[in-house]
Amino acid sequence: MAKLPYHINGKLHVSGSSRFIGDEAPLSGMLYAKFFFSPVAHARILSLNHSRAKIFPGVHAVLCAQDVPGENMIGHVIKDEPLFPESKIMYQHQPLAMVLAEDESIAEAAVGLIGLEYEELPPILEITEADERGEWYIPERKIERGDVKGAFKDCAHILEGSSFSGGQEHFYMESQRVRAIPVDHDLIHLLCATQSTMEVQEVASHVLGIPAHRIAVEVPRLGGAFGGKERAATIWGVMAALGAYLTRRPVQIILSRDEDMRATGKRHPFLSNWKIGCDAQGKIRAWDIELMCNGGAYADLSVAILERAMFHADNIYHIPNARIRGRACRTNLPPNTAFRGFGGPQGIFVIESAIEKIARILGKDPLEIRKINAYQNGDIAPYGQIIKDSGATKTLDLVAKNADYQNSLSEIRKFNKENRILKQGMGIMPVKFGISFTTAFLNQGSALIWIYIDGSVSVSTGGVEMGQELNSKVAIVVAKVLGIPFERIRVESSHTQRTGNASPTAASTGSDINGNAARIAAEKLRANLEPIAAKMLAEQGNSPDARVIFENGMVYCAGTEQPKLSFTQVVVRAHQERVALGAYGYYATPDLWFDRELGEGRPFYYYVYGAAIARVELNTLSGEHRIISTHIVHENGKSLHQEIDMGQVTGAFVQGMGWCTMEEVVADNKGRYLSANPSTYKIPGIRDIPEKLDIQLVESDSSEASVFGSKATGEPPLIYGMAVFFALQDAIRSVKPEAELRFPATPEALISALQ
Amino acid sequence: MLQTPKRSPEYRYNEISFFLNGKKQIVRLSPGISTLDFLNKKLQMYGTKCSCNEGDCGACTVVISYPRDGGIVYEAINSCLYPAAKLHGKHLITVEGLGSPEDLHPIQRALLEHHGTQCGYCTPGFVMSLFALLASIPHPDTESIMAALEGNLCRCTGYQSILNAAQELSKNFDPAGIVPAWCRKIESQLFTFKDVAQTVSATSDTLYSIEQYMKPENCQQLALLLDKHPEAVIIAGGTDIMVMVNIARRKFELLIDLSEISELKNIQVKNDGVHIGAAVTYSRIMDSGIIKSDLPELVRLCRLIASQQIRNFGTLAGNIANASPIGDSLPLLLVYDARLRLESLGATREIPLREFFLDYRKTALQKGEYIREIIIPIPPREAFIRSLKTAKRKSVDISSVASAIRIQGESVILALGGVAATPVISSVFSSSVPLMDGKAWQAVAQAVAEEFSPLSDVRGSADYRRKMIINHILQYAEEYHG
Ligand SMILES: Cc1cc2nc3c(=O)[nH]c(=O)nc-3n(C[C@H](O)[C@H](O)[C@H](O)COP(=O)(O)OP(=O)(O)OC[C@H]3O[C@@H](n4cnc5c(N)ncnc54)[C@H](O)[C@@H]3O)c2cc1C
Ligand code: FES
Ligand code: FES
Repeated sequence: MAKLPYHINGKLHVSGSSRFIGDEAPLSGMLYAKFFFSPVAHARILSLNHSRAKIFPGVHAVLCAQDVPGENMIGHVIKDEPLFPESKIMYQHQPLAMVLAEDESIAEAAVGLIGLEYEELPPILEITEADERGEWYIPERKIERGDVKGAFKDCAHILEGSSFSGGQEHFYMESQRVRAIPVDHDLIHLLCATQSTMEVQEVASHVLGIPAHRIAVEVPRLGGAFGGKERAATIWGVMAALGAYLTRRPVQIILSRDEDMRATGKRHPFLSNWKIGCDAQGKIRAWDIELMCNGGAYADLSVAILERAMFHADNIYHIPNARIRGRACRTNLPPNTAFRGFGGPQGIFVIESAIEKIARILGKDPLEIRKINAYQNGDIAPYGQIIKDSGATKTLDLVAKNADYQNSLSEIRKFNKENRILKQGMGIMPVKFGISFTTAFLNQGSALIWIYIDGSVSVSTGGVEMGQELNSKVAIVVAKVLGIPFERIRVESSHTQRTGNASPTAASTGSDINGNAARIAAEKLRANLEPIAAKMLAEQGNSPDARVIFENGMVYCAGTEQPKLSFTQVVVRAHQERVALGAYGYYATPDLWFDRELGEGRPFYYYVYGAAIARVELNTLSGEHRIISTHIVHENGKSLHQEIDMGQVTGAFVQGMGWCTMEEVVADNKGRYLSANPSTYKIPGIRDIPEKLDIQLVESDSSEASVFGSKATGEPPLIYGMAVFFALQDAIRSVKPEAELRFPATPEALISALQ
Repeated sequence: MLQTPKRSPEYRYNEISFFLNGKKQIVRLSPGISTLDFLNKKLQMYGTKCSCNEGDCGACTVVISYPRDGGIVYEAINSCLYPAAKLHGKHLITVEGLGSPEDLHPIQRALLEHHGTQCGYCTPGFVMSLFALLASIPHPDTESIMAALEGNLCRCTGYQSILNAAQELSKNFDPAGIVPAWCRKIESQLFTFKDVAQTVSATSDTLYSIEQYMKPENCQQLALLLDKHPEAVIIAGGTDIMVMVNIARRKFELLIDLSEISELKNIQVKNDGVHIGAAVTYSRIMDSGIIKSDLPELVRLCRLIASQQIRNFGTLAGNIANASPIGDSLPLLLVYDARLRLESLGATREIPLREFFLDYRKTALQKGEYIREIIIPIPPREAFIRSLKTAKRKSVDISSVASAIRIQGESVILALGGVAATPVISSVFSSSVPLMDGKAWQAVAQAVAEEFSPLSDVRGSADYRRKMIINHILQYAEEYHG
C-alpha cells in the first residue's frame, strides 16, 4: 500500500511558517479595535458616554448601536441578538462599544474613558430558574414513540434520576480574530477566523445594509475551533466589517485569551430529569426524559443543539416506548454555542447514567445491560429512522475483548480488596452518533478546481481547515480521481468569492460534503481530459477504444503500460484544444428530512458506531487519579486516511475526558465567569492522557457511508471520554455503592462523593 | 471622574545586544516589552505564537542559550512573560531558526511524520520545548519528556502523537542533528560576551505599561536604585510580575531586574545551612548537587511547581516575596525553618521566614529592601520531611491546598498554604506530639482542619480545603508509618 501523505500543511506548521490571521505585517493605516465590555450580566442601559474616548488622540472612531447603518441584528436562525445592545444588557462582557485607534494601547486607554450608567436587573443564571419562568427561545420540543405511559405499567423496575453535565470552554489555541480590509470603494475583504464564511458574509451584509457580494470572507486556516468559531465568530467578523466600512481603513480585532473566555459562549450545560423502566433482565421498555439546556443570553444555536441532544437520548439502545422532551432556556450568560458533539454528548450522558443505575440496582454487569439493549438492524429510533448497519454490538464485543474486560474486572475486584487508599474502576462508553446537519438544507457543499497548464492543481471548497485535516482529505480525494500525486495539489483558503453560500464546517460533515463536492468537480475535469488523452494515446498507436488510466501523474491505456503520457502533456493539449480545465462541483446529501412538528423523520445520512473502556486508579485521599488504560474501537467506514482519523479519535477522546474530569466552568452569582483564564480553567495536559491508549479503527462496508466509503470522525469520539467519568464513578462505588459523582469529576467532586 | 492618560509620554528604552537564530542583533526595546511582542510586533516574526499571554499554554515557547554554571545551557522559556531586556548577552532561538519547510530540523520532521500537528497553532511551542529537552538530555525517558512538555497545551492532538514523536527522537538520538552547527558556533561568543546594555530616553505614541526597566549589575547598584526610587518594583524572573502586566494590565513606573546580578546567583553551603541567592531559578535548584543531597524534598517539590518553561526563569525568592497564600514553596520552607537575608542601602538583617508574612500579600519587606538570599538549615538525615500539593490538574496548576510536614524525634511541625491569608504553621499540630496510631492522626487532622477558616474560590470550596487538610495529614501518616 502506498505510504499515506503527511499533513498537507505539516511542513509549514512544524517550522512556524503557516500564517494564521493576524500573523501578517500590519497594514499601513490599520486600526486596532478594543471593546468596552459590559460589567454586569443584566441591566437596562441609561446612558453610554464615549465623548472623551472619541477625542483621545489616536482614536479614529468609537462605535456603538447608533452607528449601525443597516440592521443591528446578528441573530441568525432566531433573530434575537443585536450586534451592540441598544437598551438592554444581556450578559457580562457583552460588547457595548468598539474603539478603533492607531495602536492597541491607545484603543485600550480610550476604552477606559467610556462611561456607562445602568440600572442593574437580577440575572437568571441557572437552568431551573429559567425553566420555571418559562424563559425558552421556543416552546418545548417533543419526540415520542410507542406508548410510554402504558409501558411503564409492565416494567419490573422503574428507576428515576436527574443528571447534570457541565459547560466546556473551547480553548481553541488561536483566539477569536479578524482583519477587515476595504478594497476599492465597494468591497470589504474579511480575513475572519470563522467556521462559517457564509454566515459572516450574510450577517455583515444585513448589518451594513449592503449586498452580500460587497463582502468577501476568507479563512486561510484556523488554530482550532471545535464549534467555537461557528456562530461565536460572527460577532467579531461583523464588528470588523463595520469598522472598516465606516472608517475606510483596515481594522484588526484579536481577542486576548481572557477576553475570549469571558465574552464567548461555551458548551451547553444540560440538566435532565428521567424515568426508565425495564424488565427483570434489564431490557429497557420505557424511557421518559426531559432535557433542559442553559442557552445563555441569545438563542444562537441552542435549539439545534437541544435537538441533537434529543436525537441522542437513546444512544445505542433500542427503546420501543420513549418520550423525549426538550427545552432550551435563556439565561444571562454569554450565548452558549456549538461545541464538538453539539448536544450529542450531553444527551448520551443521561442514558448512560440511567444504564449504570439499572446495572447497579439489578446487580448486573453494565456491559451485559448495554449489550441486551443495543440496536439491531431494523430497529426504529424514537424519531422514526430505521437502523441499518448497526455496529453497536460488534464494537462493544470487540472493545471488551481488546480490554480483556472479564479479567480486568476480577483484577480490579482483587486490587480493591487489597488496597485501602487506592481504588480502581472501569467504565464503558458505547457510541452511536448521527451524521448530517439536522437542519437538512445545510447538507450541501461546493468545490472549485483549477488545473493549471503545468499540471499543478488548485482546489477550493467551502470547508474550513482547522486542524481536522479537511484539506489533506480533499487533496487525497482529488489526487485519487485525477490520478496525480498528492503534492501536485494545493488546497486553498476558504473564500466566498470562490465557493459561496458554504455551510459551516461543522457537524462532522466537513469531508463528507466538501470531499464529495471536490470529487464531483474532479470527476468533471477527468471527463474533460479523458477524450483528449484517448486521442493522444491513439496518435501514439494505442487503440482508440482502450480504457484510459490516470495514475500517479501518468496517463496510459489499460493493459498496455507503454507508451505513457504525463498528466501535464494531456493538460497542455486540453488547453490548446479549448477544453475547460476548471470545474465546479456541487454535492447535496440525499434522503434527509425531519418534521419538527411530528418529531419524525430521517435526520441522519448514517451513523458512526464505537465503544470505549477505561480503567482508572483513584487515590481516595488526594482525589487524584490516573488512567491506567483506555481501549477504543471506532468504526469509520473505509478511511480516507487512517492516521488522520487516529488523530481525530485521540484528540476528541482527550477533549471529552477533559470535559468530564477537569474542565469546570465556574460563574459567580452575578454571572461573571471566574474560570476565565488558563490558570483557573484547566484543559488536559500531556500528563493527563491514559498510560495506555489502544485505538482500533474498524473498517466497515456501510451502504450509507460517504466519500469513497469513508465516515465522519470529527465529533463522535469525544463521547468516549465519558468512559473515564464512569470508571471513576465505579471506583468510588467500590467504596460507597450509593455514591453520586458530580460532573465534572474533579478531585473536589471525587472527594466529596466519598464523604 | 476618569483621568485622561498622558499623551506621548517619555519612556526609557533599553538598548541591548544578543544573538537571534545565529545572528548578532543590536536593538532598541520599549521598556519591559516581552520577547513575544518583540518577535511578533517589532521583528514581524510570526512563528512564535501567542495564545494565552500568561505562561500557561507554551505556544510562545522559545529557547535561550547562555553560559550557566560553567557550561552552555539551552532552556525553554515562555516568551510572553520573558522581558526582552533579559536577552542581553544570550542567544535566542526560535522555531524559524531551527528549520524551514524545505529544510526541516529532525524534531520538526518527527512531529510531521508522527502526525503530531493538527491545527498547528501549538506546534512551534512543542518544537522548541523538545529542542531544549534534547539539547540538554540525550536520551530522555518518558518522565523527562513529560516534564519538558507539561507546559505546552495542545487542544487538537490529545498529545499521543507528539509523545510518540518525542519517544522516537529519544530512541534514535543524533546529537549532531539536534543542536545545529550555527548554535554551537555562537556558544564561545556567549562566554566572551562584553557588550554593555544602554538605556535612552524618548517619547512614544504608543502607551507602555512599564515606563522604565533597569538592570543593575551588582547588589550595591540595586540597593542604590531602590533607595532612590521608592516607586520601583523588583522583578526577578517576572513570572508573577509579567502576568500582572499582561493580564491585570498593571502599570509600573520602574521595574528593577535583579536576575543578572552574579552575587545573587549562588547556591552555597555554609555552617548555618544552604544559601540560595535571590536570582536562583527553580531549574538551578533542581540541578544543584548540594540541594539534591541536602534538601531532596525541595527538589521533589520544585518538579510540581509550574512548568519547565516557568521553572527556567522563575525564582524561589520571587515565590516568597510574591507572598501568595498558596505559593507552593512556602509551607516546605516554613518547615525547613528557612531564614531570609534582607538587604537595603547600607543595611542587612536576617529574619526567620515565619516572621515574614504579615497579612494577605503583606510582608516584612521595608521600602528599599530586597531579599538577598534564602538560608535553609540542613535538616538531619532522620528528619521526615514531606510536602504535598492539591490542584485540579496534575501539572502546571496552582494549588488549592499545599502543605509540608516535618517529624523529627519529638518535634512535629505542619505548615499549610491556601487555608488562610498567609501561609501558616499549625499550632494544634505542633503541640500534639507524640504521634502514634491511625486514630490519633485522624483526631489531630480533624483538629487542624478546625483550626482554620479557608475561603471558597474558583479553585475549591472551603469545605473541600478543610477536607484536604485532613487528607494531607492522613497521607503523611500513611507514608510515615508505611
Ligand atoms: C504558568 C504559571 C504557573 C505557575 N505555577 C506555580 C505553581 O505551581 N506554584 C507556585 O507557587 N507558583 C506558580 N506560579 C507563580 C510564579 O511562577 C512563582 O511565584 C515564581 O516563583 C515567581 O518567581 P519570579 O522570579 O518569576 O518572580 P517575579 O515575578 O519576578 O516577582 C514576584 C514578586 O516578588 C517580588 N520579588 C522578586 N524577587 C524579589 C527579591 N529578591 N526581593 C524582594 N522582592 C522580590 C517582585 O517584586 C514581585 O512582587 C506560576 C506562574 C505561572 C505564570
Ligand atoms: S502565550 Fe501562552 S504561555 Fe505564552
Ligand atoms: S495542533 Fe491544534 S492545538 Fe495543537
